[in-house]
Amino acid sequence: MIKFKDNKRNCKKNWRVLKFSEENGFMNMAIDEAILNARIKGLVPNTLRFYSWNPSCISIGYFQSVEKEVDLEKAKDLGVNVVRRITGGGAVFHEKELTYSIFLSEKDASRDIVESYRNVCSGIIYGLGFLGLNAEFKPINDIIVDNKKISGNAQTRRDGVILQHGTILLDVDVKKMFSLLKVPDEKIKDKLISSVEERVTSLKKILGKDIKPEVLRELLINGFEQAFNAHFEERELTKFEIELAKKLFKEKYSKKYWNFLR
Amino acid sequence: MLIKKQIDYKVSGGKLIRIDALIDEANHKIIKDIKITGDFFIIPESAIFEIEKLIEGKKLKEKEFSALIKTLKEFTKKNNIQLIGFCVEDIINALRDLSKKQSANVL
Repeated sequence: MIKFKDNKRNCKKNWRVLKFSEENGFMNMAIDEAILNARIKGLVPNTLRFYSWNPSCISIGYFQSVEKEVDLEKAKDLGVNVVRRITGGGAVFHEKELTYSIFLSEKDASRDIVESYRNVCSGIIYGLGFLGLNAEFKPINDIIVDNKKISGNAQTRRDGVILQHGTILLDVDVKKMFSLLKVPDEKIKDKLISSVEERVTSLKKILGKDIKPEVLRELLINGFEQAFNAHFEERELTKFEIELAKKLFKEKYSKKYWNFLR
Repeated sequence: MLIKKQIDYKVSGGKLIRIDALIDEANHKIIKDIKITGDFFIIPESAIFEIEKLIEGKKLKEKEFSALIKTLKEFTKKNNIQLIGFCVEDIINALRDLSKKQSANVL
């Protein structure tokens, strides 16, 4: 019986989780792309990363127009960075939240893209379950609690590897968010703010108290272990990843050509 | 005479397709330039530039749309391009709305 249990443990896939890090938005996106490349080359195992953004940052989806989505002058005034992601999806204001990224071989998730969103989001749903939350996946790329959005996610695939990153809201300031994001019709801005305030929630709102990102990270690691029947070993970025991230930061994510691509 | 036109098209399910285009009104409404932006997903992402190129040069006219649907569907199928959160028909519906919209700026 004991032997059987040991065997079962050995069968668990050994994946990597990186230490929590806080970087600026350009470096955060550079690190995500560097890990994706390292995973494609087979230099690293499937990897999970948790991070936050300092200074606060708006990330926009690959297909979005930066000038149409963001009040760039306001962002400059508030010291908020703006960066384009390699993934599609919408604009996100990264403040008072925990961001994750996961890098998986396509073989470890569903071939179908929306189903694979569900696969990855189930790690977060299990993790939030440890806090007593009954979170649900809402296709295409959201996680909701009591029908309110708590997490948005975005995915891309390259050469057999999935990159999915997303955020879990610890707290939310919709008014500040909409002072930075442009809305289609200024006349209905106040109405839009109250409707978004109704449709979005945060862990602080639900739990009635702050939760530390480090604590949430531990719960989510357990959640991902459960979702993928994997064991995560805490490790550092490799030298290859660090060097590539620095290069991508310098040559891509901090550059106008990339952030103003569309 | 080039006319600048813009339309926001909301796909059922929530994603937004925003089209900015330059239309040659005097010359059969030929689409001279198009940019499709929004919060949708395409894998691989770079395919958006090819999709835009396939639309450029076509006429912004109802009778052209079914051929354009065919062209875009063939292109995405052949190159294994996945549109998530919208489909080829949504792009065409956005173009249809654009064609009906009164012009914004004359260049």
